[in-house]
Amino acid sequence: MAKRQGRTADWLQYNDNGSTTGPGYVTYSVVEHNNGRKERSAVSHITGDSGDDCVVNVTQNGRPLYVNFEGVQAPSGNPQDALYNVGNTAGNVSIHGKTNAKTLTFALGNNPTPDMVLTLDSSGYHQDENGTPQGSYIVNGNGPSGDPGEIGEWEFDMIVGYPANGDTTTKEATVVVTANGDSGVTPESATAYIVQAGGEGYVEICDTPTGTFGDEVSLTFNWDDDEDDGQNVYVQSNEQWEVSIN
Amino acid sequence: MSEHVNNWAKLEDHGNHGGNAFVTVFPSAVNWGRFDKPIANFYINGSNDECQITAEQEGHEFIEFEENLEPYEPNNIDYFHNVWEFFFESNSKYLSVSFAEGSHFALNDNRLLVDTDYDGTYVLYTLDASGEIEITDDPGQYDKYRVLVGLKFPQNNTGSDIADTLTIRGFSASGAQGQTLTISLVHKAAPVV
Repeated sequence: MAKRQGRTADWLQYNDNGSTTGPGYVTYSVVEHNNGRKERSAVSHITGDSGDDCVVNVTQNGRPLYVNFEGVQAPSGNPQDALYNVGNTAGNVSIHGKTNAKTLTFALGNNPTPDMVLTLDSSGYHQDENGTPQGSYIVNGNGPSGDPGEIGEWEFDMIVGYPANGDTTTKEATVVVTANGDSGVTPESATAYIVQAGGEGYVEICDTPTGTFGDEVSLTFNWDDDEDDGQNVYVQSNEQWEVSIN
Repeated sequence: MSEHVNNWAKLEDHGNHGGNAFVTVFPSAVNWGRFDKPIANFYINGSNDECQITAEQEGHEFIEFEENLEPYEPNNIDYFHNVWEFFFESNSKYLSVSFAEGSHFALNDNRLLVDTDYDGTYVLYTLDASGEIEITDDPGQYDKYRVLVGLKFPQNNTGSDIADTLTIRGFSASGAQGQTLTISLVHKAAPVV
């Protein structure tokens, strides 16, 4: 007798192993992960020709609360973290992740490189490949309506703004997302590392500290000026510089 | 701290070598020449950026009294004195000396003594028919020189003070106004006995 296989639910399948009479066994297996926080159940019936019915209750546990950023492996080494490299001019980056949380809270991380002050969009939402928002908008600290995380995974994006990098060295700041689940469940977090490339080195000068800086300054001394009559030239730069006469 | 020298100009970096800071440029000395000092350039060099500081110092023409060599002032010469000497400084190419016509006073031997190095070594210049001299090689373009002037005159036995004006003009081109040094001379009359 051929094996019979079937589905009692989208996530559960069975295999009677060719047994249809007398003693035998049925194998139940799940065909997909349960990314939702809640367990899920399905019922299977083994019914004899006489109508005698046996019920098999199958339960798949839910996945523990989680949140992951998706991207390049972060320097932390934590699999839920991700690294985002950005250029030295001011702009925005969309940090993307997946979760089964009820709500998400975004916050700036501690100890950013000085002057790298990130800004967080007031709402985090998922966009498709065309940049079209999908689903409902999520305000920072809230979650999508209907708590889809109970039964599965959902995706999120947060728009992070960053300033121009006036230094020649790279800068780094982080965004931490905290996933909140059901009451009594310890929140989980993930960190997005925003690493900004250094800017090009520049040197500019001006004969006043608040004037227009540029590449050239001309100084004129009176005939009777000497070592006591110096004129200052102010330098603005983001790197090391040296004076030369050639 | 480092001082960078380019000809007549100096730049002090105050120990600054990066970021936002300032440097100071100054002349090493007064410019005693008629000509502007040649332009001096300094550069601030970054990894891929360079800035230029261009410095210049103006020149000027002058003639100026320096020192009286006698223990009496030119406007208070006792009757029995018959000489008066003094130094003046200038950077002109030409010098001219004039007195009023028929003056009581005159240049000793119609000459000026010029010391261009300030070392006590003089070159003798005799005034031409116009009362002028030209300084050889025109050192005044870039620096000043010292001139020793000696006046001679007879004792004043006229019974009256004798006054006159010595005018020395320094100029550097034909017809130029130049600069003028004017000295009032008074040879006092002998006291009445």
